[in-house]
Amino acid sequence: MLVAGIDAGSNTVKVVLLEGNQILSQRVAKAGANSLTVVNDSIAKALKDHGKQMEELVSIVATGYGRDNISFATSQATEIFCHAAGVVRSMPQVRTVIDIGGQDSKVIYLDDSGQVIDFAMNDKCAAGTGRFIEMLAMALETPLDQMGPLSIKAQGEIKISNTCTVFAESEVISYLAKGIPREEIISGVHHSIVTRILAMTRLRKMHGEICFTGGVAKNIGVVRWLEKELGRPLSIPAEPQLTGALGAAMIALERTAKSD
Amino acid sequence: MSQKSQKRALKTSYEAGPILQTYWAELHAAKNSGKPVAWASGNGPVELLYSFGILPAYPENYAAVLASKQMALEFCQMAESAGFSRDLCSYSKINLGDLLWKDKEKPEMPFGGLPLPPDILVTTRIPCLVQVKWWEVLQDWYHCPLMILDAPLVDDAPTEDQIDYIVVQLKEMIRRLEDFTHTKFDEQKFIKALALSDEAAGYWDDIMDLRASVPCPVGAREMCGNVFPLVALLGTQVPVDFYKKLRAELQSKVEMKAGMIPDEKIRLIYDNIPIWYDLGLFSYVEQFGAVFVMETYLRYVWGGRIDMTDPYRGYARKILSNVWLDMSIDTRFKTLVNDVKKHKADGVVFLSNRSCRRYSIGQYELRDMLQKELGIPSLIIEADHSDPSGYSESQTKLRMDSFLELIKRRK
Repeated sequence: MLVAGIDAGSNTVKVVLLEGNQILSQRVAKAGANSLTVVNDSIAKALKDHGKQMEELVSIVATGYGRDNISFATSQATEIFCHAAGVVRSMPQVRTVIDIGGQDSKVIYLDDSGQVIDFAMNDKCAAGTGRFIEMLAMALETPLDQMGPLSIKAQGEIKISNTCTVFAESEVISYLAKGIPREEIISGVHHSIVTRILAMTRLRKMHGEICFTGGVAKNIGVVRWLEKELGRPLSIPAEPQLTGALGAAMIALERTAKSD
Repeated sequence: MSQKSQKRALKTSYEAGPILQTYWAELHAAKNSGKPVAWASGNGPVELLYSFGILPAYPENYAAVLASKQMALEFCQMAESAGFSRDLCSYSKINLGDLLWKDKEKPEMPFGGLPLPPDILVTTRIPCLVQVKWWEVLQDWYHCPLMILDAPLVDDAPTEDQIDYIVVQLKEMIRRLEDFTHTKFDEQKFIKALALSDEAAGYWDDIMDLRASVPCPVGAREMCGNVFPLVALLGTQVPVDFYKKLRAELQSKVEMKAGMIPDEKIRLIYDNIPIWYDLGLFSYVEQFGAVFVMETYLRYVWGGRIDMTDPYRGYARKILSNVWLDMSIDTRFKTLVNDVKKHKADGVVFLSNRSCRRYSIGQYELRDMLQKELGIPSLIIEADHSDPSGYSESQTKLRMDSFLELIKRRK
């Protein structure tokens, strides 16, 4: 049985095809100005690579900001439940999921059977999201994929106190003007995002094994700061960015089984 | 943001619009014929004004009207460009922006705009201190008499001293209104106005209680449209007739077990002022089988019973009692726990209101307490009640969707 999960995020579009319980294909593409076209292209390419046809898809679950605009999706699910399902598939022992995406960050709490019991999300501003790092990478004239490796060379004593992305940018520029090394500033940027995430867990403490998902989990600098602040290691899926799409595909599978 | 009017659950709700039209027409007619018009703030002693024959206009309420018609942003910006802080209560920004409007064509104002200039300004500290400062600005601009009903912070029930404090001020207001109108105070008229106010508030309480029925007969969006007579016309016959009829219709709905939505699955409580420019959020949840059955704003901001055996003290007690904005966190919590139980609610949606911090303070604690005490989940969304800048509809809906899914899976 062939199913698809699509995570149409604010920054990237992720697609996962599952055949039975096996991952057949997984893709990430930049969302750009016309994310619907990107969704269509991604799914078409994923199918074509494996000689499959659209008609063979029994169920397609969409999640992410664009989830309601994908006309060919058979149903929708929220990112909270998709991320949880994606994590539980490969790491059933995880009890807390931290997801940092392009526009949202969330902490998802699971019970012993892997069901969502609660969640916390960032307030609506970009602080504590991938967008924050992206904007500041531009100010620092550093390619996004270099932000992590550069920052782990730092002493880590610089603090970015502004949570507002625009003000943080001026703060970064003033550090640059003072001659503070770039890697130190980047480390400060990563530390800032981590403190925002931890503030979200004020009401409910993280418990059990913690998994870190979303595009930002690929940034080693953020991972190191999170581990340092939490005082324990994090579990990170092989493809953290695809967790939501994988979970959507798992939900697609589950819904097909239920309707049978 | 969807503000399309929805089919109402109750026939009587369609009468709220004409009541509003008549109220505005009378307000403008009074002004045009040279009668004094007051600008009053909500929760003020409006019954007293009616007993002196003074019609009150409500800048706050009018700001909510402008917000609901998607007109608020320009007025907020106009006030900000004149130097008022972006963080100021958006009701005040809208009103001040309206009065400060310059250099570009003003949009056509609903109901012909507020009657200008105000002849007397009446406000109270009960909801917040901003009210007083805002009215002081108005006095500075219009040089007319300003009456302020000061009030202590009251937790739980007011003390006798606190009631004395209000009564003394009411009597002073009466004296000043006699001077202002050059007429003698007619105590019988005042007592009559209080009796009408109490009767209307009694029906309103019943209406709120009827909404605790399963299924809930009417949701938040429709009730937000029905609260206006309670805000503006207390002390007159109009809200008495309107709410009596509304209550009767609700009673028959409840007897027939006719719900707001066909298949009610999730019952929600809402805390804070409605997001006036996105009232559609209240009906948005209905497609998921959810309905808002109670709102702290509709239950604990307006109305209130008056002990008519001792009208002055009874009135003072009403003014100081059961106002959500005046309650401590502990009292808010106890009240909310009762309401969650009474309304059989599955969850609470808190609006953390950018420009009404007094309403929003303690919501994180309330959320935590509800989880611990009742195991009830809550959602906190961020927005302003009337200033739409900085509002993200898609982010708000994303959180709402996840919250409803969480409740559904828990059940």
